[in-house]
Amino acid sequence: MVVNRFVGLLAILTLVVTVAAVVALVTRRVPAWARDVALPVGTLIALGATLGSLYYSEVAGYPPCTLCWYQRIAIYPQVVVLGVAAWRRDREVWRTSVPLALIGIAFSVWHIVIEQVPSLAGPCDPSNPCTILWVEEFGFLTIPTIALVTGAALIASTLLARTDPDRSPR
Amino acid sequence: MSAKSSTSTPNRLVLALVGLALVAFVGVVAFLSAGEGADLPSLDEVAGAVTIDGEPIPVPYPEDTATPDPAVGLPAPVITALDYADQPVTIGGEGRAQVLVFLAHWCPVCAQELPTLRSIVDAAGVPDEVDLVLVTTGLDPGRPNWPPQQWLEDAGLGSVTTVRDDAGDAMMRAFGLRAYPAWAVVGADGTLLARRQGLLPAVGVAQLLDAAAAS
Repeated sequence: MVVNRFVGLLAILTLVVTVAAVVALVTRRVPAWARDVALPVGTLIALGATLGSLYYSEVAGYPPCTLCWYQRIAIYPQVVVLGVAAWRRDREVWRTSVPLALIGIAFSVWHIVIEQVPSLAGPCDPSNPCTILWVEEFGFLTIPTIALVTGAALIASTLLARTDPDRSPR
Repeated sequence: MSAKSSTSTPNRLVLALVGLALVAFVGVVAFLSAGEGADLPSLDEVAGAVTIDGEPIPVPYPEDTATPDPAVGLPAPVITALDYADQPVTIGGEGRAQVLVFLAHWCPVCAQELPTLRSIVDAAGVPDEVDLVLVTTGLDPGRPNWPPQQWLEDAGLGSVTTVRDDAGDAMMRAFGLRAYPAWAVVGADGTLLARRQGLLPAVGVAQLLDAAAAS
């Protein structure tokens, strides 16, 4: 399916950007341009994840399970939170964004665990069990995995934005 | 300081264009690399006609598995359903003991059960006097691993007798079962010997087969 492949490739791209951001943060070599684009990019990642999630539930007809809803709650507001922060150049937005993202990541991790070991969640509820693999691209990218990548990317982008310009190379 | 920053920072328009080009590139790669969807059978083509004689099991499988199942010892419903070759298969009634395994193609716990079933079948672990019958239920063409017969063949269980529940899970409901995978053991005298829901280890499956054989 083209949409799944597109979403999977965007998730990999996001993962690569996130790893690069983490490396920059750990080595404390954050270019000024990266700091400047971090919040707009974070906004776009949150927007992409939100639109992708809505596509799956409203167009493709994959009903969100309970754990999906908790992850949505952690990601959807980030579009507004990061969008406003990007507009106002608020580099302290990580104080709001990171806790939200961490909550989402915690649910993503558990969702991934029960996808890998479905019996941990008990027998399949006929209505909408969280263990169904609606999407599986490249053998590892499922919906909670993509949510996990999104959460990590949002944390990395907001932390990039808060880096001290005096300690980073231009 | 700000002048220095502006000269070393790439133009925002250039960055936006690079971003757009990246997304467009990803879209093209996705379009070119995604496979064509196969022509799959419809729900009506897969769901079977099910005829139920006698009373369905009136007691749902107990939520608390520590509680003895009150349905054990009741007469099992006699059901006629079709296999994937459109041949009628009778479930229940007097005759051979049967172990029924209700499987939903989209249920990952059912998928987890398949290797256990295959190992038992491959090792000739089903007693001669017992019929192991798979029942494809929970049918939904919009969910993963459709159609179910292909899913079972891919798991190496294509040779096991497999019957088709109807689109409303009539067979499974007739046994008072509500979650997948589910198990029902019907003795040679037509009574219900055991029910289970959820993943069973090989030893649990063997116990059900032994109970059926002992009847």
